[in-house]
Amino acid sequence: MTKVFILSSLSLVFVGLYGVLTRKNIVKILIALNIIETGINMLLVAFGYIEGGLTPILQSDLSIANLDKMVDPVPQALVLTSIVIGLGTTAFALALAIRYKNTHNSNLITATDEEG
Amino acid sequence: MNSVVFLVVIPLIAAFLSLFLETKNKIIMYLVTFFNLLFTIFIFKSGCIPFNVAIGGWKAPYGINFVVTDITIYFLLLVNTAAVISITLVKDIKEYQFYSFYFVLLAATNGMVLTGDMFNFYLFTELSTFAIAGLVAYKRDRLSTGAALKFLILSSTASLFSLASIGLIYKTLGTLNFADIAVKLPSLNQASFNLILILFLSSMLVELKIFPFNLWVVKSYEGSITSVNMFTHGMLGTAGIYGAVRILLIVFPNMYKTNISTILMILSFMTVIIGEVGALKEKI
Repeated sequence: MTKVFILSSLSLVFVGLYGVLTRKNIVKILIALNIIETGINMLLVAFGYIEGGLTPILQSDLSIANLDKMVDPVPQALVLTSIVIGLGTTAFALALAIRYKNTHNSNLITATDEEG
Repeated sequence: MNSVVFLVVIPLIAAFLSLFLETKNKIIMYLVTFFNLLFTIFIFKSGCIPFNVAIGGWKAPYGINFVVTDITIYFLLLVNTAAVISITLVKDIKEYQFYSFYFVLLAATNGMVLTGDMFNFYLFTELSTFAIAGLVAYKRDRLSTGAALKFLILSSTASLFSLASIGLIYKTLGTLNFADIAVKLPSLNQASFNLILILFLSSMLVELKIFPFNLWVVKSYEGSITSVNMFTHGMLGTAGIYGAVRILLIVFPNMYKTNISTILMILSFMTVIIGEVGALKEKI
């Protein structure tokens, strides 16, 4: 099961990377960035996953006996933070994209005609 | 010295306050920057270096800590001195967005130098990316908007690679603390070592403006106002250099003869040559 998680997350990363490298529309680039980010988040969660694991909450003395069956909570905390960071990046980049549309009259990002 | 946290917290508080204080923002900017510089000199003179501060009382391998060593304090002095020099170039009174982004950048660069935790380092790097992109886009014309958007896309793609390398470090070594990684590193095999180092270093090269990743620099320097160029070079560059120095020399020492120093030397040499050739080719 962990292998399925890791393979699917890596394929998401590469699909997103292809999108970032080849598309020219800004909105499509941002969607591809979000796909990469989803893949990385899934990779982090897969690193802490245990087959048939329990939620990592210490409720009673009985749950201390099951410590080695619990999933690792640290990658989940990292993923939570990185989701918030990704939301901030996307919101800020979309605000910049609106201004780019106003100043360039186009949604396409280009390498050459930047001047003027 | 628990109060070393003030170097990060007070600029962040000022970043929120700058939304409401319209004309007093310039005074607050001078006050906060000089406070940071004086506080760094006070730590430098106090003679209790090296020390580390556990945030929230959680001890080092489990919680996040701030580490101040002999090399850290010099980089802290460099960053804050660069901040003081570059705010003297802010002549007229700007709008509140400029000051807010500047305070976030000050907090992020101080945090990048101070932190002793891998994930915290990633967070401060992202924060400084936002601040630099906002400051570059402050001029609101055609050139600066394009430059800021390109920098934001390039830098967020690179930082996702560093997030993947942080995940790999946690999976293989079970820790995120810099000192703890350095202790546990001999149990890592060479393939994982190379993968982690390449992923993390390629994300740091964007901040360091090394050749294959420095194409954002020209447009962002051309499109932004002069003090923002000083911020980008003096504060973000210095903090990025310290990040690379710490990752290369302290956390990942050259244990498998991975020629990473040769590669870095060739890349920096090419940066100098290609940068000079590009500057000579400019007409204006």
